[in-house]
Amino acid sequence: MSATDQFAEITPKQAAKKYVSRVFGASLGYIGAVFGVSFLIDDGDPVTVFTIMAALLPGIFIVLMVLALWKYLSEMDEVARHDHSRALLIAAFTVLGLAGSWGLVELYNDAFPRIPVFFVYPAFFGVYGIVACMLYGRKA
Amino acid sequence: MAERLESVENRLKELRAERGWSQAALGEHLNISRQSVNAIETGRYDPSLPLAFRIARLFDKPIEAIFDDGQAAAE
Repeated sequence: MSATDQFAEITPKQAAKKYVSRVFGASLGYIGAVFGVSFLIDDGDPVTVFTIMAALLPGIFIVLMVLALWKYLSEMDEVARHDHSRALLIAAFTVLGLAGSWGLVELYNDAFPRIPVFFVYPAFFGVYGIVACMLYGRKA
Repeated sequence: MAERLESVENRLKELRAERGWSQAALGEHLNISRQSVNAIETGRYDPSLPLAFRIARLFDKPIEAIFDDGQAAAE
């Protein structure tokens, strides 16, 4: 990513369109993979190389979504990149703080429910989405 | 102690108005979004040097005629 990215051929609208189509494609793949793996693997099935590989399959689409965001960051204009980068940092710090704190509570209190690590991903993107809208959408 | 850099003031809104352009139209000339034009006009974001040069060329003015960090008069 360089400071001259705003002079690229691609316009901000085209960049946003490409991002949405990439994320939409990856989301469809993710949903298909989750349903497929749920169909193939039952709760009581023994752990095998196949079950581990199958369980990792939806993760490929999560990585694709992250890569789509990375690509979008390089294609958006510099002002948007500034705001989105701030939103990503705020989301990272928020989720790190919450996950770390909750992890300690879980560790020292058996009564507290265990939250799967999986939820870090939607929590991160939830916070990022809200903060990005607040930062980039504000007037001044 | 290091001096804190203050925001740079600019005449972008005024120059845009002279040409009768909307923020979206200026954004198209600069290949940035309308929201980004707004962020620069309101001083919420100071553009990079490459973008500042592009703005200066678009309005056919030197950078100092568009952007003012308030230091020129003090010097």
